[in-house]
Amino acid sequence: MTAPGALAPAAIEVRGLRKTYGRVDALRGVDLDVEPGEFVAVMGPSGCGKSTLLHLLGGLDRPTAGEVRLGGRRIDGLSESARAVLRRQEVGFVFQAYNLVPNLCVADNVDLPGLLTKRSRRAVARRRDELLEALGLVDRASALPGELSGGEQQRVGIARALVNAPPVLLADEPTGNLDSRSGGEVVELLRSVHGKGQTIVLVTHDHVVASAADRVVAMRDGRIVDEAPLGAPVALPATLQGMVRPGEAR
Amino acid sequence: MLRFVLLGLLSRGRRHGYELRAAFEELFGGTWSVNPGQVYTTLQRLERDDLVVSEVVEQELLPDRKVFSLTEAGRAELKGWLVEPAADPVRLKDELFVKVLVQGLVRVPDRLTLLFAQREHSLRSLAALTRLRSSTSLPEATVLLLDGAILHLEADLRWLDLVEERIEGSA
Repeated sequence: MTAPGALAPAAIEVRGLRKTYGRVDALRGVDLDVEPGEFVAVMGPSGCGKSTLLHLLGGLDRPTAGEVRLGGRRIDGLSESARAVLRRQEVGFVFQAYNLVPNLCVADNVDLPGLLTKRSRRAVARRRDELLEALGLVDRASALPGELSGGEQQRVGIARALVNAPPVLLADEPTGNLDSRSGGEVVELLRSVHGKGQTIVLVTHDHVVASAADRVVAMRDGRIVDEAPLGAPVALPATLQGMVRPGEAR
Repeated sequence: MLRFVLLGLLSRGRRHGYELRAAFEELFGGTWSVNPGQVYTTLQRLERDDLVVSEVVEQELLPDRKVFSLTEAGRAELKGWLVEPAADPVRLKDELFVKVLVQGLVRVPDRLTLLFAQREHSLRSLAALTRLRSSTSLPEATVLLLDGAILHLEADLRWLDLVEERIEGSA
């Protein structure tokens, strides 16, 4: 735990993380810090361990060795039931395949994680309405997932992930099933959620998606091999500069 | 290529130099900037080649100015260029490609570090372009140009990944 008066703990702190499946070393010693409010993209070829890392960050699985702290609290040794609570309250997951419940309407899908906590129905509904509004889904609230486009389903997925206001949002190839236009919309949403202070860790193999992040972490063969901070963007070509309005000057 | 843009702009009616430059900037949304000298020199050459003609128009209180219009030869020249597919945009002599090649040639000790630095630079350019692309009310031509530039950068980044794989494979 952090002493009073100390700096806020990192949103995520990973030390020496290893994960072995049978004889396969999925992670071979990963160290990673994510600051509160930071947006980190993890890139790498399939099999490099990026999804495994995300699963361990969100308590979907337990590491073979190493430490994971969320907001200063160690989660790597938690029991299955404690991890289930963690998954409901401390993290929000967005998956490539959306994973919506097909026979529940949009509003009920978003409410679901909220109703699994001790929060009141009314508080959950209020939060859900805010999210549907922010994500442009108000008029789809009573639609079934099957009636929505892929892009819309993923927006519902993001609303569901955020309904419990988790400190950390974890996204695993959220645009993987989408065409570039809907993918772009989902990235815009993540960017705007991040703009409001949401900490995000996103796994992707798409450079355009990754370029929305503050930092791009490259994984190869179970290790982090490079970290590229994008915080201070390069100057645009001189001829483009006049087109960027003040306030969004990059 | 400037000459064909000017011919294209003149195909919509006669214009003087300043108007042409303004129309040019508008078409490219500022992504391609030309100075008045370039426009003037190009117009002079077009006139020498009988592709445009100019006429001096007197103005009250203001200096006279030259108004340009397209000739039949100019119209034919423009049409010929428009219907001809552009040369294959193969970029084998791009600095990025050449640099990475020479890095391998001289056996720099930390080639991967250089590669990662290059990737970081390209990712930042991509971030700047995608951010700009997501802003509203861009001219249509600019949107198309940005999309093209973004796709090229994406290809560069994927190529850098391939180079990295090759280096790792040969290490």
